[in-house]
Amino acid sequence: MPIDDRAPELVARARRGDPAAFDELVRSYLRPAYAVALAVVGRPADAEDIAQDAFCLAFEKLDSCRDPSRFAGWLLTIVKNQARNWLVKRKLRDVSRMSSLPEQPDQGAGPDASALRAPLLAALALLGEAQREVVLLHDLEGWTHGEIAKALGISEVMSRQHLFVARKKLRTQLEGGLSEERIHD
Amino acid sequence: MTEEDKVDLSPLDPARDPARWDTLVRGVASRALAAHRARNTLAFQIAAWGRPVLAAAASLAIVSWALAWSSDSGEMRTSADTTQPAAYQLAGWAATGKLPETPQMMSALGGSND
Repeated sequence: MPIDDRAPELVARARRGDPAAFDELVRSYLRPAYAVALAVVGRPADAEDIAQDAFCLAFEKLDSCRDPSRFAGWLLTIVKNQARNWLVKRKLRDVSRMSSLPEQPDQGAGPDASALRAPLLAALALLGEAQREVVLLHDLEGWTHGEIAKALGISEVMSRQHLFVARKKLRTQLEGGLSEERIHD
Repeated sequence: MTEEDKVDLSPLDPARDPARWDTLVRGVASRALAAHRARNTLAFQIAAWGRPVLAAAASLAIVSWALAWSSDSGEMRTSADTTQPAAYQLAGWAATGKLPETPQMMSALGGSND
């Protein structure tokens, strides 16, 4: 859950080099950072790397966070930029051959994890980036529409709208996939 | 919209394996802290100030050079302005064969008869 109320204090302590503040900020915001990176790049393993790098970059320029009460929005903007840069680099490297390979399962993930993730990722890929951001922050991270709106710089109404459309599309896609599997069985 | 409408995205949860996630979190926090500490060392601060100081020094050098150049060319122009009439005067006296008065000659040659 976001801790925006405590963010100014934590940011101030982190600026002074307090290790506990660094730890708490990472614990609170690494997951949302991962969710936003995943919304942009669509690959969990890459999203984790991007979230980590973006976090380190954010801490490097922590002094440029003018309004620490909006730390989440500031951080997620850095994450989005990092993720978009990563996408551009991926396109430049022309790794289409690699992207067609099945994703490597995470270390520690259960045997069914990849099987469960594949249809979800395929369904998420059909959504717009903003819809993916909202549905991941809301349904995965448990953020409220108010928190999402503040962090992403959109209105609460827009956040609700994105969530509604995203869930509808995801359900249609996932149920369609399940029906197909039943037919094949 | 209720909680029941929620799509189950738990397979995408990066903290499915809490131990692995905890290691990752601690890694990011320590990396960030190390970067922060490195930024606060004297060497880093000097390096950070080095570039703007170098830029300021270069600007100052360019301005000084420009000022020096403009003042040099001003001096050259002044000396040319004073010598040119003298040459004309001398040439005029030579052409006409007229003998100038001593004060005139002294004035044309930039001297004084004091």
